[in-house]
Amino acid sequence: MKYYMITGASSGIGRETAIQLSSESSTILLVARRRDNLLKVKDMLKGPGIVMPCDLTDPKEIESVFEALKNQNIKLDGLIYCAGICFTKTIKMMQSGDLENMFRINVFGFYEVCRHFQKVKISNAGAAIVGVSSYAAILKESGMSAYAMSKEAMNVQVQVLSKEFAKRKIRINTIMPANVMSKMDCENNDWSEEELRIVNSKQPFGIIPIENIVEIIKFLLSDTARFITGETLSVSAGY
Amino acid sequence: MELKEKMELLEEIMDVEEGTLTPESELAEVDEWDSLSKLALMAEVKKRVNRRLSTEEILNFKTVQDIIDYLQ
Repeated sequence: MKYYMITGASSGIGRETAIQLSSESSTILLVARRRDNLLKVKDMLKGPGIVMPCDLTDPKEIESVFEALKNQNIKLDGLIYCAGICFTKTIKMMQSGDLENMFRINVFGFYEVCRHFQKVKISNAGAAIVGVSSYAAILKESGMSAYAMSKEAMNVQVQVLSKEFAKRKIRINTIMPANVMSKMDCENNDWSEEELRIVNSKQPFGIIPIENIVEIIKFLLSDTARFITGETLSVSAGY
Repeated sequence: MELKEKMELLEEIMDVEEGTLTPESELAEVDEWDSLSKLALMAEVKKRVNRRLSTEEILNFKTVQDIIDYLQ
């Protein structure tokens, strides 16, 4: 039995990854804030799932999640960090606390979860981590300072930690998708006709289907990618 | 602190699997008993019993049992 922890599992890329990774031989640890949403995802899985509600901005709650794993003698084979927020604000629109909020979930949560994950009692040697970063870190467009900064922080994290984790052959990478057909916890949740038109004009290959991102995540977790670590994989769709 | 608790604490500090250490384990043979672990132990001692574990005391630890005895 393999065990994969997925944060942000209640929606979007996290949910789809949970569904596609699940199987008779793969148990998914579903992490997000709300139990009710996680239970809905658990029902959609193709195999066993364990619901683990957690506020990733609270280090104590993160610690509890990993204590629970230790108590159940579960050792992880993978971590997919999909939890994150996004907003578009030029610096003039930014308010005190906005940057911290962005970093709290996108950066500090990712770091803290990785800090627990790498422990000998928590992860198996040869385990793999994938963080969902963003092509926004490359584009660095106006209005994206907080978001791009947070996503680039994830990129730097995996490049450094890949060296620290090499001894136990734990691989850590990010994926950087351009626009994905997925609801993120963004101010603008729905992709309106107009927005899709704009995306398609900037992204020649069109908006990325969520299933494609999940396929790439699965590749990064797979045996084929066993020599890939510290990589920040762009999925630009031509943007 | 019970023996089991102390062993768990040392396993946490040195980031080793349960069963890797025994009270008889020679610290010189344990790769994970490095400067990082020593600092972590000092921090734990300060946090739990508000005592300052000195470098000299640390150098005097030869086996895991020595640390267990210290953690009274």
